[in-house]
Amino acid sequence: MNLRRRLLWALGLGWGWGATPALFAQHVSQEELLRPYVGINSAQKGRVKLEIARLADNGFNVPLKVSVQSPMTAQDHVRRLLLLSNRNPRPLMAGFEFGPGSDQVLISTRVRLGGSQTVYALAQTSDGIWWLDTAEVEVTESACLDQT
Amino acid sequence: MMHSRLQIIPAKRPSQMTTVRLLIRHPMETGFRFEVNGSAVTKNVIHTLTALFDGKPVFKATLGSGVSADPFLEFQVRTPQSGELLLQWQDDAGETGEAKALISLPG
Repeated sequence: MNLRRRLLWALGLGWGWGATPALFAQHVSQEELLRPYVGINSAQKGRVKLEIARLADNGFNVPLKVSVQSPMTAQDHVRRLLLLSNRNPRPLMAGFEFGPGSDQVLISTRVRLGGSQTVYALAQTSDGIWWLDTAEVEVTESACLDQT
Repeated sequence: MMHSRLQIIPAKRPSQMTTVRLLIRHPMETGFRFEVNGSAVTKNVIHTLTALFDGKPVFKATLGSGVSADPFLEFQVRTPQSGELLLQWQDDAGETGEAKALISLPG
């Protein structure tokens, strides 16, 4: 009895190790996710504000709002803003570029999320510094229904 | 020609920003979907969207498969004087769409 139970337990563990990566998309670590964009620099928390509901019933259509605080000068403005997902098959969901005239950044859009994950809003100011805000989202129905 | 709806909340003063809300009817096919017969549905998303104010670029959005079908986008542009705001976008199938609005500042 004891041996059988132990064997079953080991079998379950083995299934868990082997089958999990194929069944569910893996979360990408923050360093790995941000490296293609920020390079060797690191992103600082602050200035960016990402507003997104904690629970998303439908992963196909998740509304979000991003704002970036920026002083009203032409020398210091937001150059670009990226929306990243650490679980979607393509991490970069959307990117926005602003002219020197726009000094107030407020964007709202709707994105697809392939499962519960962390959403990243990454902004680069004109001095080259990257700013970051993250938000955890629980997704009830994933946008990825296939093997992705 | 793609169907779209554009809503503009013009700036009340030259120092303020104009809010632009755009809703485009587009499937935003990810390329990860399959037909019933097993063939993959080709990826077709609106990849670039630009906003021009009086011919000068003021905003650019690069969208991917991570944006929902029928993409909605709200952003702000600087409109120091009255003029024409032109929004243009292009999808992977080469189809383009545009929407324009005249922005008139009071005074």
